[in-house]
Amino acid sequence: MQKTITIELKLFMFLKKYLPAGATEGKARYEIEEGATIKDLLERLGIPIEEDKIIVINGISHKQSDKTNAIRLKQDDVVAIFPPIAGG
Amino acid sequence: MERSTERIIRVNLTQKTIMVESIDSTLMKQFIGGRGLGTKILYDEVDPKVDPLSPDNKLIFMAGPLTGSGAPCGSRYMVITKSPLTSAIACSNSGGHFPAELRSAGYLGIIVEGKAPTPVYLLIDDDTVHLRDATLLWKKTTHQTEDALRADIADAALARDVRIASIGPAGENLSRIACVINDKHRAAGRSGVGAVMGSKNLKAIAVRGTKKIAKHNNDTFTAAVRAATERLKAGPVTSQGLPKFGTAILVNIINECGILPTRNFQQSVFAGASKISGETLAETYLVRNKACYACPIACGRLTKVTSPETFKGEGEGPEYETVELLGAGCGIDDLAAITKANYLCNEFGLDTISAAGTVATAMELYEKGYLPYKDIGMDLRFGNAEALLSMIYDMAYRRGLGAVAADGGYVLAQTYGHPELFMGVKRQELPAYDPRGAQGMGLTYATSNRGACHVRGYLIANEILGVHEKLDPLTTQGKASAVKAIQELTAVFDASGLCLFASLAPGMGYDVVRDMLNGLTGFGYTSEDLRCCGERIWNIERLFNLKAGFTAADDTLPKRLLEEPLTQGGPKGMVCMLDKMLPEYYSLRGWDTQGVPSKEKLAELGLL
Ligand code: SF4
Repeated sequence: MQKTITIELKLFMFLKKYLPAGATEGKARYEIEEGATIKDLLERLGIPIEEDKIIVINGISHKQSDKTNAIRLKQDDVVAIFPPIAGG
Repeated sequence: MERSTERIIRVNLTQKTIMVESIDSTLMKQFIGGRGLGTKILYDEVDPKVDPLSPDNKLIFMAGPLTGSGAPCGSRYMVITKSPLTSAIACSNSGGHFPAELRSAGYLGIIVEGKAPTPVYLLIDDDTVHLRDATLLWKKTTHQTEDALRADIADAALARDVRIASIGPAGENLSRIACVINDKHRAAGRSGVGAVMGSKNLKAIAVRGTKKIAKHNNDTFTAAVRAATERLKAGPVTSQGLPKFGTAILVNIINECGILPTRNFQQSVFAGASKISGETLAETYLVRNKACYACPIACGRLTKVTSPETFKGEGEGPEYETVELLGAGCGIDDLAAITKANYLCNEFGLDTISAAGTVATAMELYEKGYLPYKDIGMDLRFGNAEALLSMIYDMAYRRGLGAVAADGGYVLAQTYGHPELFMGVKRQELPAYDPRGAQGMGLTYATSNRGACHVRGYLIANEILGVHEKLDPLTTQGKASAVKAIQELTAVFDASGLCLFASLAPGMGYDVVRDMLNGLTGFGYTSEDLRCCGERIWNIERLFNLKAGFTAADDTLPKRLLEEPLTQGGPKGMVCMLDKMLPEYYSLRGWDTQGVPSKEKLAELGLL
């Protein structure tokens, strides 16, 4: 049997619609196979890969890119995904 | 329509004279307008050592050539003067409709000199300009002032059509954190420009304009405007994020990234962040979004709080900086209270960033036992929303603790013996990003010519938000050149009269601005010419500050940010490594190790 890990997933704004069932307040504990990447996660959630977005992994922001897509997830990682935003 | 030279109004309040002057087009070309031209005029005409609140200081309102032209986001003007808060150059930006109206009346700007013996307001109706008695407007809030000013005008159509900029009680009472408010809700916020207006007994400026702005080449201008508008409509930030959620949308991401200033920068993650976010604002108090003149983005928020009774009100905002600093910065997670505090600041004419920073300083002084209860008569603990509102009243009217706090966080912290608790640069309160987790932003704060500021080089766009090129927020590498580049581009937007938010769409850089400026002015700029203008503007501001007495020692950050590592979030353990960036920055700028521009650099920029 494939081993799995659990991460904390947070989706914001227009992306909230991709939250898995059982999510509350935009957050969910999410199970995924060990060794999965950001790209795997996006695919699993049905979030279009090619659209710009900001992915904050354990409090560090990354822009959607091949490099970001290849990052491997670890147990208890906190992944927060935002559509492109700015202002200030 | 034939394009003639741009004109400005010069008002001397002491002598009660009003003159209209035309601006030399070589000067226009070199400094563009707005922030550039206004600074050049201040530099040439005012001794940088002048007492900011004396009649010898001048107050310059300056729009850019693109303001009111129909260029998308061409809605801005600048208020330029010597700051009573920082003693450096002040240059505060605002949009709305007042600036475009001034342009339609046929003027790029207004220079205000001297001091009126009694309160006055300036009424501009195309070519008719005069000073009028403002005794009846004095002591009124900015909202009451607009209404009373309209009532004071006999001609009903004029009364209806004028656009108004005014000060509230804070400006009248010479609060060093007072702003100028136009169109009731838009603030030329920072550095105490409202106090300078108050010191001149100038309560308001009302303007109606009915003329069209002449273009050098209508066809090329229109084509350039269309191209720019398309970019804004295609950009996800400018077409979706900002219109739907406003700037407060940043609360959650800045919190996730562990750089959300909390309780006077003691923490950087706030448990109540989601309660004060743009999404929550959209679900609760948002009535609809609202745009400045000719803006396809419409990031403004028309809001209304109906309960509880104490927080009732309506107006615009709060914006990100405001909601963050009045909220997390003061440990408050009650969005109704924050929204009310924002309304009060706008009505009293207080800068929300500085007001919030001052309250946060007071709260830390109080919690540490340095500010005795008997001096304030209230429980100033972080999180106390009633105390926040009460301090805003006190600062606007200089009552109680407000007698000192009206002069900002630096004076407050200094008065109570703990200047290290003031979170600001050059005596101006910090905006809402902790630079320990966004190193380049720290360099922006330290080198900003008007003191701590986020819109003098918004590197958060790159370090955190990944707009344009994404940079690693935690390293110092490459930050000096990135900061220099963004400072110059920003100066060009500010000088042209464009809202900086337009630069958040892909491809909205020098080329697009160049095409619009060339279509309008016929100056034939290249993109590199424009970058040079940006560099020229940056350097002349620097020269003003050096002559005012500033040195490299002032290009720094509060000790907390340089020495106390963050204890939470992704950037845990980080301080801002300013010393790793500043020398490189000086050298890239062509400045010596003391931050003084070299002769060669000044010659290259035509500033010798
Ligand atoms: S983006 Fe916002 S602040 Fe800028 S011009 Fe448009 S509405 Fe005004």
